Amino acid sequence: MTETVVFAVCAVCAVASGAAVFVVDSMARATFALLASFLLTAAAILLLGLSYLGVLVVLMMIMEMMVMAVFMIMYMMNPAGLMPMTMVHNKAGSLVVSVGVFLLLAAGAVFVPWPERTGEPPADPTLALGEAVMGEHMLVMMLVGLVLFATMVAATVLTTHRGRYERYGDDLRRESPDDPIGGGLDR
Amino acid sequence: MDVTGWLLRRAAPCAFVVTAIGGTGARLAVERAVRERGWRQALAPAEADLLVVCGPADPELDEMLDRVWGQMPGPRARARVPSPERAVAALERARADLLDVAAQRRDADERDRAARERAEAAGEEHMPGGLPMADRGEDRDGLALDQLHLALGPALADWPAGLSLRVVLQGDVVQEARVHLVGARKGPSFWDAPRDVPRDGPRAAERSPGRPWTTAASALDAAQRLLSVAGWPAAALTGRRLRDALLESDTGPGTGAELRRWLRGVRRSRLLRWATDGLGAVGDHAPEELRGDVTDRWSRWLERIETAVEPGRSASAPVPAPGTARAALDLVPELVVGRELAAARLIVASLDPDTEAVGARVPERDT
Amino acid sequence: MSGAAPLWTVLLVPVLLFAFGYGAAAGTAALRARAAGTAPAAGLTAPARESARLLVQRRRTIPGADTLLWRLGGALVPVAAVLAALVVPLGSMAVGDLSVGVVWFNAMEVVLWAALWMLGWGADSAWGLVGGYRFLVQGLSYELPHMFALTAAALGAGSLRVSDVVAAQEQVWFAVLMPAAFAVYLVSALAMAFWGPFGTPVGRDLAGGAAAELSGVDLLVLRAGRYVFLAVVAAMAVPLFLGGGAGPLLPGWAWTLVKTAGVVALLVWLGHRLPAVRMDRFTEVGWVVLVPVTLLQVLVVAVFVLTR
Repeated sequence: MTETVVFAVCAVCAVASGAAVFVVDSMARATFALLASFLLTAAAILLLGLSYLGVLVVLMMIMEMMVMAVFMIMYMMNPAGLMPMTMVHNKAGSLVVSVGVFLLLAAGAVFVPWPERTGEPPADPTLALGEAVMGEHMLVMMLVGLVLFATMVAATVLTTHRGRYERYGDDLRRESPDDPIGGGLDR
Repeated sequence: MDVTGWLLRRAAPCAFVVTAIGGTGARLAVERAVRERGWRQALAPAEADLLVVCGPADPELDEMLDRVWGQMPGPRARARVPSPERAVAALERARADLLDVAAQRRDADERDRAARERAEAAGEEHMPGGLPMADRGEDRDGLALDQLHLALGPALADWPAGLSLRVVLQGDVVQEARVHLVGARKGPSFWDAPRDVPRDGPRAAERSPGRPWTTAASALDAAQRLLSVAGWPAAALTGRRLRDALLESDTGPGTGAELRRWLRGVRRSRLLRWATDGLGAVGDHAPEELRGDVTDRWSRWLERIETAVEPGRSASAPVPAPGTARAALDLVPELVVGRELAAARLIVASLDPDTEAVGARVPERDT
Repeated sequence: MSGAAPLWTVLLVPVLLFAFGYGAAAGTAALRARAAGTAPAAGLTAPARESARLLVQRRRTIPGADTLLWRLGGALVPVAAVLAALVVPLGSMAVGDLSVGVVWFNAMEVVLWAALWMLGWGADSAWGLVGGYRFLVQGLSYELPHMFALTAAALGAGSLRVSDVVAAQEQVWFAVLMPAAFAVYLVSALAMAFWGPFGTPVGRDLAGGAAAELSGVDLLVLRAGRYVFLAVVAAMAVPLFLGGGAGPLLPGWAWTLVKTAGVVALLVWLGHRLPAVRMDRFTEVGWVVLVPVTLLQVLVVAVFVLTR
């Protein structure tokens, strides 16, 4: 009973704070509304008994949202006194699309005849998760990791307009690189 | 029971000290009095309850001070210290004002009423808080970022007296900088001025301008300010105490050993060198005092202090050449551009332009 | 070593944390007083006197401020500290001995990222915003080495449960077994409590940074929260690396308190002795030195666990 109540409260609040992302008039508040939505979803995951995944969602989502806030607001050095701004473009269209998608998914969740559970949940879901990721799905996980890493490196290389020739000179003979801000290791 | 008054009497005040050009002597006296009473010095007006203004009045500075005064949350009190000997009395009076609960309540009610009236008069504001939006401009990496216009000083902790550095920031990187002096005036610098020696001790002659003890004290003052900006409050506090001891007429015999220990500690700090190495490098065209990077400059101060306190070598103490102050002020804009705020603050602290030695003519140089 | 403590211990957590936090603040004030040449004994009452001052001081209203996020940011600091402390065992008892206690601690500590950024952003001040961003840079620099240091301890025990980590140290403390991880943990402890050399997010060069516009009770909550957080990261070092409540003569809870006090004292002393670290310098060290060092440490621990 308690679980149902907690789940219901979290679910409603998650949807509400998800909607708040588009209602509030500042980027910072939109970021934290989205974060709140994710954290409430993490509570639902914790209710399933998946403590590792739930806490991990809390951990990763806070870090991710903060990094996203940096990039979103980096271009605007106006502290909190940002002009109130709307968080949506094409209001009517986006509303139709989002409500449609929500109804579709909700209908799927409610009307699809879910199969009865046959197995038993593992005694230690964290261990089972680790064995799955590091066992039979290891190849997939390693590939996904590599692809993500390669994407990040490639994106950084493509966006920066300074390469090694700018840093070390045309014949790469400069002893220390010519950077606008030097790092801490004096390389 | 009057809880507010009871708490107020137990609280140690926190003073926000602003120095006008010509107020260095008063600042030293105030800093000393604050330190000896176990009070704290505030970093920003928001946390302070005393506003202490050192030095002569100036219309431009006074207008800025009124704004600082408006930012102080209250209970609050204000003290003006025009000369060193009035420091203690002014601080005591300000403390008494702070403890006057009835007057503080009146002040708070008045401010609330004024704020309400302002809010009603403003009506529907077009801009949030009535503040303008930022403009955009190209930054170092070719991105179009918002520009923020900010004035560093003169009401800023650990900052040269009367200096106002008008900067344009993108992120925390300084893109443009312009030097402006608030309340510039003719007159000798505190460190060059002849001053009364209270007693005719054997060392009285050494405490006149250009003499080793004065140059050592001025170097110590510069060093403690840099240490404070570099985020080492403990070393800065000790530096302040040693500076006050040097300026005192009868220096106890203990100061020499303690000073040497402090010098050794600062000089050996790898972390401090790591923070200041390679920052704000100045070439050979500048006066000798200013050459090299931030580390070179503070190392030179330490040498100057050491030379002055070594008994045998005091005759050969180096004295900064005239014109150093102006050169330092001229160097500030070009050195801080392209640096982020932490580096810019360290660079300004290491150049330590003596704004009192510059005179009335104000350099207005763009980068 | 089973952990479920009676419910009343929930109330004990903030009390103990507050005591350690007050001790850290008093120790700092005493060291400061000695540096300033006044009586160090006055430092013992200095935090109380400062609290009295801040309790009387009025809160500020700033035009254009995002008051909701601003106040929330300040309040989150002590809340995150207390939540993180729920998995720290006192002797052999913790309020909540979660099966993923180490990850929980990490997640609560990351809440500070959001808190400081909100504080800086909400005040509508350039100093605050720069301070908030500085903490994020700091976070991105220390977080990965910190996670690997936690991973090393969890790997050594083969469990994410804090009481299992303590149990695994019966023969030898992890501080001895994995010194690099312990050292990195101490560095990141200073960094996550934005304390001492890592205090630049509220630094003196920024006129107080993220705290520049705070006054009165808001400032009191932030300062107290920061000291309490320092106490929590020190307390967590005990079960992770210093053998928890293990020790001769004294009972487990007493050893935990003694060891925690020792780590707090060490952190306070380091904060007193060291100047600030500039983040544009430390970031490179974090990524180029500390990440490989902790990864190698994890590798060594993994080999040790496999061959044991």
